[in-house]
Amino acid sequence: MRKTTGQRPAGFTLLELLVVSVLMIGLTMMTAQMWRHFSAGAADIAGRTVAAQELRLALESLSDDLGSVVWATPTMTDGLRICRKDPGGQADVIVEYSLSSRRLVRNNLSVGVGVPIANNVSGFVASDVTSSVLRITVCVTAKNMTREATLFWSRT
Amino acid sequence: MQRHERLFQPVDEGPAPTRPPCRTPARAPATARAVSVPGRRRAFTLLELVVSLVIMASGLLAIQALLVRQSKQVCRLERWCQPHPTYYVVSQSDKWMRALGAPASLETQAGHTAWTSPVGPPFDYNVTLNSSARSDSGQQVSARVSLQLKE
Repeated sequence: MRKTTGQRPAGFTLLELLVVSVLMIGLTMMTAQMWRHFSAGAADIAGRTVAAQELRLALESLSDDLGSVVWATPTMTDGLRICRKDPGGQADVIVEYSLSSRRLVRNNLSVGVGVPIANNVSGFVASDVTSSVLRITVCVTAKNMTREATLFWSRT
Repeated sequence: MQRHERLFQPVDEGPAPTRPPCRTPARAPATARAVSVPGRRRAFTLLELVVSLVIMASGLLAIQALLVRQSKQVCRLERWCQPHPTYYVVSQSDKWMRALGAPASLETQAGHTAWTSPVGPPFDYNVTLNSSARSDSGQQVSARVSLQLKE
């Protein structure tokens, strides 16, 4: 720092300001790089969590309907139609799973009510592997993170 | 008007009061930075340096703890949700569980059987042998039995 001489106020020299500016720029760049890495990891965590949560909702609904299933068959539009026992009721219930605008919708055909089960669903395909084995694939994409699960169900 | 002029007339206060002379000598400045000695460069004191180092160290430790916790959470999340899991759906085979609408179990390995119903105690039966037949080779025996539930 400049010497205090007489009535002249003290101040920084140009060289000191340049050195401090260079150091500050370096520190800021290092901090920005670290923060970018940290925020990217946080965004990945948020995406993974949302995808896992939506996938879990879809699987729980499917397992709930397949628990007391009478029959299940894929539809022409890669959906899934399930006939299940109605708990507390006498007649069987027919439900259909289909993909509509990135939502997995469960339509109760017996009542005529459709309820979205999971959001951010990028794929839902039900197909017959053999005459007795059904394969259901659910794919969820949230914030560039994709989670996919495959279910196998045997009719026997 | 005369009154105003009288009011705004400068008041002769006489000579300004003089501050009594300071009996104590000039107080020394608290820090060495306040002293500007011609010919010497001012610098940070050791106390300032230690305080700044402590603040910087605590900040770095907080950031490090945050990064460590974040990496642990990422690892735990990666273990929890596999990228492409495969589940084998096992429907309920027991009539009670089907009537109650119990969900199917999702097994990660094929070949698992449905879990048995916890409803009701184990039952005892009276077994009555009605007929039996032995094969020609004598290695197989077939029997016809009837079961009656014990009361």
